[in-house]
Amino acid sequence: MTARLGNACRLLRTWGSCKGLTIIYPQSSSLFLPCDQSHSCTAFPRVTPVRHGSQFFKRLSGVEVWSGQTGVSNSGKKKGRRPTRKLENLNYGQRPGDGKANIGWPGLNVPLHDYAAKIGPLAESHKLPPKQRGAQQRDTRKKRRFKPRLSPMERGWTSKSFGGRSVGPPDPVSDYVFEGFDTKILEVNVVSHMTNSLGRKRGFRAFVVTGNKQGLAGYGIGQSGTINNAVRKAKNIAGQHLMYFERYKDHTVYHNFHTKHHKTAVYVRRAPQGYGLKCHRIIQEICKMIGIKDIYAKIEGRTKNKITITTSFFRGLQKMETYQELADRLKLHVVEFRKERQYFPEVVASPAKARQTVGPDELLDFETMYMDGRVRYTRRSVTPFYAKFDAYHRKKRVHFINRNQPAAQLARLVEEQLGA
Amino acid sequence: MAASMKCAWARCLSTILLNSTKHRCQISQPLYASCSNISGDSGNDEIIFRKGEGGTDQTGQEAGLADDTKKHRRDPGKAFTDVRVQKILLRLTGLDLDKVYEYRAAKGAGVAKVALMSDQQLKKVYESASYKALRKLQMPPVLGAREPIDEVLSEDPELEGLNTSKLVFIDISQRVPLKKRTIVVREPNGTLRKASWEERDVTLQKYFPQSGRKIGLPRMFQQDNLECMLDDGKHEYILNRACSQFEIDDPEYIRVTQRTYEHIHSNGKFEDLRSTRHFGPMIFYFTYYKKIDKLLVAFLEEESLEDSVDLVKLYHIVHPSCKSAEKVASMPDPTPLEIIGAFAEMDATQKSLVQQAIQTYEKECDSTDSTQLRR
Repeated sequence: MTARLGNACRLLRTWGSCKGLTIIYPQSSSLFLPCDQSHSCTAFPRVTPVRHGSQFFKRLSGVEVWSGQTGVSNSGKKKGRRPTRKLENLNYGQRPGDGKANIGWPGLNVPLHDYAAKIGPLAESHKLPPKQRGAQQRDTRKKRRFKPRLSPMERGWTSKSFGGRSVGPPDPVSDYVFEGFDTKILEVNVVSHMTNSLGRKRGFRAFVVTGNKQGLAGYGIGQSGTINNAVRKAKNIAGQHLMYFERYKDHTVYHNFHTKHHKTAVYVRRAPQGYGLKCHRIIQEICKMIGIKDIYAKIEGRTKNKITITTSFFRGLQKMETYQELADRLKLHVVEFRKERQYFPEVVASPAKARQTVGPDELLDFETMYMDGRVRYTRRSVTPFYAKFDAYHRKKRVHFINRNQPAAQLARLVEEQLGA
Repeated sequence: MAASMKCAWARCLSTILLNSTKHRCQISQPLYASCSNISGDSGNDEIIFRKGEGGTDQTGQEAGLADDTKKHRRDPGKAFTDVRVQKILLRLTGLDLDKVYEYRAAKGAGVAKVALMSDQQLKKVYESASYKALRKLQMPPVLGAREPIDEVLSEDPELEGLNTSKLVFIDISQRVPLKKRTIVVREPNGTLRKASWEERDVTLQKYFPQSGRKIGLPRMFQQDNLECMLDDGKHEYILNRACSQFEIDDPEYIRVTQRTYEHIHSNGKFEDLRSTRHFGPMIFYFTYYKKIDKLLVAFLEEESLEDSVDLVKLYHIVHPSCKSAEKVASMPDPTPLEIIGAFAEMDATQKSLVQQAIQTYEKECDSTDSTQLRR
């Protein structure tokens, strides 16, 4: 090879000194143009013209170019600056030699020692594994933190928030399995603290409530570097701090109550069946975990501190008295008057031995006895602004004439249809 | 403890009411008197029944028929409003507070009102609830069907052709009882006559609507639909609705109620109406038309001797000329079983059934007595 190159080298030196010319040496055995294989002769090497300024692109290597984005200057380091990007391997998913023609080039996409074999189609064994193949794979590897799409039943209060999401029962403890339990996330916060070596260290705090919908419930707070771990910790802590609450006919609280914890006050009213959970979504989730289906609750004071809302509500529930406890305490019968029973006196709880009489000054109003002197504020009914206009009253008079006509017309229609 | 107190109170209260002269049983005398076809012999306490006569009931059976009944229509109202009859019926109805104050769906019912009461306060409240319950148990009277109205006020043939339809006139002045309101009809041929009962009902409902009442016959009371309802077991509902829809002497009311009683009789479900306002009228119906055998057997099977004796006594009051009544009157001091036995022997239509029931009851009594002795 070297002997033959000798003449070519002289030529190359002459040629190479010219600007703008690059000489590409084919890897095949013959350095010269294949005119005639039988005799050796000097022939012109292949040359490929390339555009101006190619030296600009060759001046720095790929890593050196990236350092502009990935690196931080010395002064920047002193100030605590962090790199804006991470180094990307732009060649990932691509290999020199791979192409549409699907040819295997020894040294490029085929091992070099195979070069004795013909340049031919790329064998399956030498193809890049599917995971690494293609530019699409490069792009997908970038997106490490993609979130799977949740169904409406799995979503929390909003598509993005963790609040309201269900995370299953707490982990079993020795032989106790939390059967029938479910946990709901109430809040996930990003928290941080300062360390001496690393500086600011970020973490997550999760606040959850767990319950079996049969009266057992508890809440817990957990912290960790990742959200999942924080939620798991919180869940297990909640499972260790369960409380039992009696419910009136398994659907509501026994009586109205009012509690305050720090700056958050919660005013709770019992409700009939079918009323629903008309309260803050935090209290809604707690009620669902306990198994309360109908309640009215109003939060007064600080409404943004979810932990104090929860604590306040749980405290009130703990202080709650069942009918039997009330009867035993006051030594009086607890009697219910219901519209559904035409206000018949229904004794729901009796003490072992009831009192014969009640003192004259004794305050025994069930609605207010747990309110600590507080009275519900009901707004005075306000006449609407349009009531002062004549047009409204004229219209009312016209409407009054046909006041039952829609219902009467419907009844007539029904009769007609049934008759037919 | 509260439950037993409640029962004791109810029993005590009903006996007080039955025995006292001050708190009389609510017999709807004004209603009875206002029925236009009944002659006013209200002062007489005795019940006069012409021997051998009977009315026709829903199944067409004619009780004790001797003469032509179509001529002499029998009026059960007189018998029903008798004080002795009312007392017995009230006693038989009973006062089960839990049934009277049954759970019924109510619109706009919020949370229950809760009160804390001592024993004394609770007693007072039960007392008032019991009084209210007795008012709820006021029985709708059992009357004969009203006689059709057929009175022409004036004939004016010169007015013929003036109108193509009838004109109905109603007196809408204030403070006139519904029964006494004048309602007249001018026919297209010029005749001015008093409105018929059906016309009266429709017109009064139009001008003075009563809640729960429909103009015309509700579909539920049509024969086929009524049968469906009865098969579903909605006896109390049918009777309640009939009460609100019809007048007591309306032939339709009589038809519906009597059909319901017959259905109950064929199925033996007498206890469904116990402690409701319809139990008394039902018992009276069976007694009046001499069909108390199955009822008597039911009472004996329940081992309520008092009820059985009451029923037979009621029979004797309503039919004083029957053989067993005379026999019992002749006995110096008859025991309850002797009274029932006399009836079974002489006036029961299903004699063997009743006698068997009496024997079973006696056996049961003996066995319980013996077990008590053993203890």
